[in-house]
Amino acid sequence: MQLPIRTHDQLLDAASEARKRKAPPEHVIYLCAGTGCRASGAMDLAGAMKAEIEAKGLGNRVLVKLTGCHGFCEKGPLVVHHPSGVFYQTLKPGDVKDILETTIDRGDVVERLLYRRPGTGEIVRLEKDIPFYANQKRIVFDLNGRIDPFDIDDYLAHGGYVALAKALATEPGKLLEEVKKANLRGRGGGGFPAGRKWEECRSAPAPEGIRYVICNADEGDPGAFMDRSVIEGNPHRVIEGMVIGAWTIGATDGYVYIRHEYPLAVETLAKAIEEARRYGLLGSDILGSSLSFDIRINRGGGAFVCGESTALMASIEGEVGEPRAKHIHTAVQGLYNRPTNLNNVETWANVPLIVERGAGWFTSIGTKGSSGTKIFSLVGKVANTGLVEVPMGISLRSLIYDVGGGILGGKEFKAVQTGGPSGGALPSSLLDLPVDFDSLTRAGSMMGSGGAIVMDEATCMVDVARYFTKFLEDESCGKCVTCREGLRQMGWILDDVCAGKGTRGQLELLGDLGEVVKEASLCALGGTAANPLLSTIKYFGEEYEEHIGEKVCRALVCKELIRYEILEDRCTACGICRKDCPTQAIAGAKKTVHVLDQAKCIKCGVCYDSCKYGSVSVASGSYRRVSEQIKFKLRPVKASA
Amino acid sequence: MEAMKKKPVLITVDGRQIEAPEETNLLSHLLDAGLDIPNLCYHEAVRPYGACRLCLVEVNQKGWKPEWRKLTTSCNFPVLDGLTVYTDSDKVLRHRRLVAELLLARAPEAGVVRDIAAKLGVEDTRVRMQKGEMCILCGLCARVCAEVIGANALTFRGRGGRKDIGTAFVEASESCIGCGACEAVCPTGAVRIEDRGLKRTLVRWSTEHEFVPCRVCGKPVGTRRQIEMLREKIRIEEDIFVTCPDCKRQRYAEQIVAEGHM
Repeated sequence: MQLPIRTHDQLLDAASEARKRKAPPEHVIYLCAGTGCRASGAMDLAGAMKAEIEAKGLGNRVLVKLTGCHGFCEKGPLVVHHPSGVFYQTLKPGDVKDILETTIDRGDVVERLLYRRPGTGEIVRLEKDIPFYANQKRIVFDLNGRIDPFDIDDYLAHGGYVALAKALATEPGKLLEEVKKANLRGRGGGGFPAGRKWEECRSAPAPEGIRYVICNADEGDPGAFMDRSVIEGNPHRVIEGMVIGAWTIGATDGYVYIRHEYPLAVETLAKAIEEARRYGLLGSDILGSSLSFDIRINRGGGAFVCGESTALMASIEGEVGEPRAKHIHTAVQGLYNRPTNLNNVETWANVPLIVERGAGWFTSIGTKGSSGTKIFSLVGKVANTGLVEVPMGISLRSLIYDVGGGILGGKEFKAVQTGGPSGGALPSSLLDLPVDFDSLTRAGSMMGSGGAIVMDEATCMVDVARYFTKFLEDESCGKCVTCREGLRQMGWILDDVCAGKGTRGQLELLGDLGEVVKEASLCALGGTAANPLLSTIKYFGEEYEEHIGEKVCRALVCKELIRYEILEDRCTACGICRKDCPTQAIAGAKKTVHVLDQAKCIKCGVCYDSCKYGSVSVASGSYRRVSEQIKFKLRPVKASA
Repeated sequence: MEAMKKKPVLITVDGRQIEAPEETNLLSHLLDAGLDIPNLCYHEAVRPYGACRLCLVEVNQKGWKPEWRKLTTSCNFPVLDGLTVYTDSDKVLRHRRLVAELLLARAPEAGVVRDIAAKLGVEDTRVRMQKGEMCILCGLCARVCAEVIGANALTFRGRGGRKDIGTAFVEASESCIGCGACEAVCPTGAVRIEDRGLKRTLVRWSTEHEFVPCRVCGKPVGTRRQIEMLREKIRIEEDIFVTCPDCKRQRYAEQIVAEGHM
């Protein structure tokens, strides 16, 4: 193969050569080596598997391929066997022998390692039949579990950079029309049509001919990790999208602004950029065209606000990461005051797909106003924690129950916070809401970057509002008064409400503060920061009422409003709670009913969790929950007189 | 200077037509037109910043639908052809009052904040007061130090509720020249300077400076660092740096008499 690649034909040759070289042997084991699975031991599993394959002399029949994230983090470490498509979950190095003997040698499945449907326990053998995957539409994630992200040849073998070659043979104006027709909206939060932004940037005057494209990979929402996984699993897709963008817009330089806390993503991306340069897919005269474009990586220092486009650009320039007013768009005057087009990782990753398969194909997925798919981080009290890619317009119910497998532990659904910390909490009455940019905004939440935090009945919505408000206060850059002081005051009042010291006047004041923070702040962080408060007041107002009026927390979360008690008619005097209590608040002895001293109790809940006989209760007003009865052996002792 | 290059356009402010150069900052023209727009973080010597949120107005651009009318600060909003501005709508006043409440809680002892709040009809704040604080973090001190003086002695630290402003590492600044511009632009009096004899103390910045005494009478001329900087920046008669204004006047008078001009 001749490098750098200079023509379309050379690219096709390189791809077919790569296909030959990368032709899968008889068996391939796709092993998820994303950050989540690595955290649960994927690399030990990989080591054990490679060692065992070598020991058994299976090297030329079996390939273990370390891929990016498969999405089903709940069940990691996990592997998929090719060609059968069998899915094995929660693996340990000790399982390797069994898999190789059963699946490779005998062509059978190891039943104990298969996925089981929650509830029924029914076995599901194949990856594609597991409801978590069956209900997804994986277009951005299509190659994530299949290719080696550190090997450009693997991407080429799977049709990589074909879209770029097609784009470079197309007049930029035509490409722009295609992206506009596809109605690709920004996946980073705002949902602004990418085509319109590209057009504005392309037509903005660039005195020295310098325009920038930026990939925003400063993914800061707690619990959101789709951008990280796209980069860790398929970095070339993002690079390809950016080069196509540069050609369309007329950009000369690119930046990826990525979190320093994502070491694996940085490493993967750096390797990918280096390889792309070597192959002539970055640098001067890309694929023999007139396009010269290169990408630099800029690592962020961990400020949430630097995900905001103007703060991000200030940060690249070496300034403090503070947003500025955007009356003049960054597409016209952005980085170093030059036209700059910024899109998020997932947005860029969609671009090659649109170019390759056309706007018609793209708009056939999703809804009229929001085409394509969206990746969600499904987290919280949901059975199938992980990353899911679903068509826009899917209902929240389908997202949480079909893909997500419902609520953990058979509890009741209470709310789902979409859009990260500055999104809103939506109640069960909105479960049939279609998940698209406009519907979520209308409901008082937002798409954001696609976080979806599921909450069950044991979640206090006032406490949730307090948590997110404090997160945002902490992450506010502090430049403007409304965001800095407003959020701080809101946090203090919510402290009061959670402590049972709230007043009705404060509830009204919270509404006022929420409004001024939303309406009068400088940037989008402030503009959306009141969402958690306002949406919980709107949908869960009765919980605020209870906290203020009755000093009651129905979710039994707010410490000042709850009370733990040992049920004397059920206590078996086993003594566990007494031993576990960190403040020695529980008195009792063998065969003597235990008693909790309220004055010493710090409401940590250790007694509740440690009691195996269902003898500890927690209550607030008329709301009450009793600890789970796991053991039945001992008989209750009689209360001492 | 910049304004001269820009094309003059017409905007409508509270029903009144005003001509202003395009893309210059809206607030300056509202103030020039005699409107009483409260503001604290704006100063014509430095670039607009948009921190205090008091100069809120509602705007509607040419071609916008009426329902797109939006709230914005006027200091960092550009004059645009056909722009309609509302400076005293209910929405504007309501939000200015809420901002004033927040500012009053932030710096209850600052007279200028109390005055602005009172003018807006806000005598008290419903939110928690922070006693003893005068600074509203408008950043004027740091901005003037960087943009006008060029010393860059001050910076913001931290973020969110923990945000503060001051010298690097909260230590006496090596970049500060003791010129006092920070005190001069501070709207609330949070930046205090104490001059005693030949010593200048910038209290908030824990930085001290030594004055150069007038070579004639011994009164302070300027701080040593300030004079060093001026010497580098402007090349003029050395005598000016070592003679106080009174003595300069005296010397010029004597010169004039000696030369017999009068």
